[in-house]
Amino acid sequence: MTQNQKPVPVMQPWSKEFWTGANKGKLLVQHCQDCQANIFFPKKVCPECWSENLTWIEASGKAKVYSYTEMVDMVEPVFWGDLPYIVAMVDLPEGIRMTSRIVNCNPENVQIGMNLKVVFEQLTDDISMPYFQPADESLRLEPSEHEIDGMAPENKETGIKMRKPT
Amino acid sequence: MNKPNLAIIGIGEVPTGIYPDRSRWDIIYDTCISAIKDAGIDKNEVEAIVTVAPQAQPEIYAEISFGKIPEELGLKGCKDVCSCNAGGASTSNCLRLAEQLIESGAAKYVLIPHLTVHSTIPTPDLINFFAKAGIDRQWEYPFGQTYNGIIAMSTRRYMYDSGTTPEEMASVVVSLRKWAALDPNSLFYKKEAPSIEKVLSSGMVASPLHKSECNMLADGGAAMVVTSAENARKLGTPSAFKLGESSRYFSAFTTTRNNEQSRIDMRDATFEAIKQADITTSDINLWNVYMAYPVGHPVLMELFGLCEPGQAGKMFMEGHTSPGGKLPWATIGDAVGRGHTGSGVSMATYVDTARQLMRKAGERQVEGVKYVYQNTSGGSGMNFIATVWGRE
Repeated sequence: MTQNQKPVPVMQPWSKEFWTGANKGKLLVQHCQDCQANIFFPKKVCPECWSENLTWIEASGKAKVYSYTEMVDMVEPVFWGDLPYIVAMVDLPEGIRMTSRIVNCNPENVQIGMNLKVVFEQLTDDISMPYFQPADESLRLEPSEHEIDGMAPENKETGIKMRKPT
Repeated sequence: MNKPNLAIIGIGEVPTGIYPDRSRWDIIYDTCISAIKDAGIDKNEVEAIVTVAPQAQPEIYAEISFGKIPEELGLKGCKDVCSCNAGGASTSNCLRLAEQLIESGAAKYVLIPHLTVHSTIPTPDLINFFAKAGIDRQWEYPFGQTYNGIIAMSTRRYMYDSGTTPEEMASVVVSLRKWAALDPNSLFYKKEAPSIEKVLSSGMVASPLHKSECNMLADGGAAMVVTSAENARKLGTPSAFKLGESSRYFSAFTTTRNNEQSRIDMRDATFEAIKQADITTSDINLWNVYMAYPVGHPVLMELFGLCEPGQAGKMFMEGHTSPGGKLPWATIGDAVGRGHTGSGVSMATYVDTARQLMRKAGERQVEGVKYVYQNTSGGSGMNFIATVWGRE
């Protein structure tokens, strides 16, 4: 089963910027320039004040585990090849919560409150998924010496940090 | 808000289970006819039908929405028909719509049916529906999130915050399945409830959620006949009267939900409903909680103030919520004990609330029951509707 068969995010016109950013290795958060709200999931108008004066800020890439689960069974066939995998809700210092995956980490080492750092995994030519890995490099399964400035050297042009297949 | 003016005067139900030979229209016929007979009215006195939208069954959803039930059953007095969909909370909204029809004078008696046949739906269609319902297609689903995954994360967080042990969580399933084992309409009727050890050894689905803590898809259906409270009193037959109600909406998805605020809202809705009924929590004889998975049960018990924070797991483990216990709780065993029938578990819970108040619950009858609390919730916990029901 190839990765391309996996479901891709169903985008809206106002969320495309997020995915364009992700494909360049940037984690973007929608921001209202009128009421200063950070918005997630991205919306057509600010859900706080209905302003259309929306922009994007680049997030720090940091997050903390709010909760997580190791998926081991009863997932769709398209995800069978990934089992077991860790799905988590993570809190960003920008004040939003995302559902994502925790990668490059032994499931036994994941804990609520654990510090994370974003890492992008290419799903298709156009789409990179924002996943998270332990901020503490000693907890990562992938040796950190393969990375330069948080980025694998072969991908420095595109800014996409590729995760090695596990 | 005005005081409720509604009573359930007739109930009909078919057993929940795997019955591929029992068609969807079989269920409609059997449940509606028995509910109307139970109400003691003539079939032609039903003036409106508000059906719980059949999830993942587009053909019968369309047939029912476009008016086939009154024609099929020969309900000559029917003047209005519609379907109502709010996921697992649908039945609450059907009851509210019925109440409005009755209050406005448009109908004296309203029929509320529900049916689900999962066993004949092709597996890919079931996966397609349940893998995506209540899960966002952009921000959750592509990450490999599932319904079980959502609940698993909620369960882990609750256990982390409250100190609840895996054994205590498993004992919620034990309690629910003990009720189910006594319920002729349950998938697990006469099947011995599992031990804590058996729940914990049933295999992990999404940590910390085990197979026995998940729902089994099943077929089922039920129907209710409702009328105004004053008309029910005039009829004098055993009835369940709605005494209080309150609701809250949170968010469509768990990712975007403020869990702390939604718990405050669930508690507030509950106490608003209880206050409207002019009673207190100590007057309630049965807590008919519908939360689809085990974790909601200890969460709500703590919010209701029925135990100290973090102690709900112990209440389940010590057997207080099981048949014969001091805190009768979810007498159909919720979805874990009943079997998952789309939006039908909330219908089955209302039917059992009525059945208990009508004193027709057989082995599961809660002795001396006068007041029943019941809640529902839809989607992946998008909302919370609290109700209080009484015998008079």
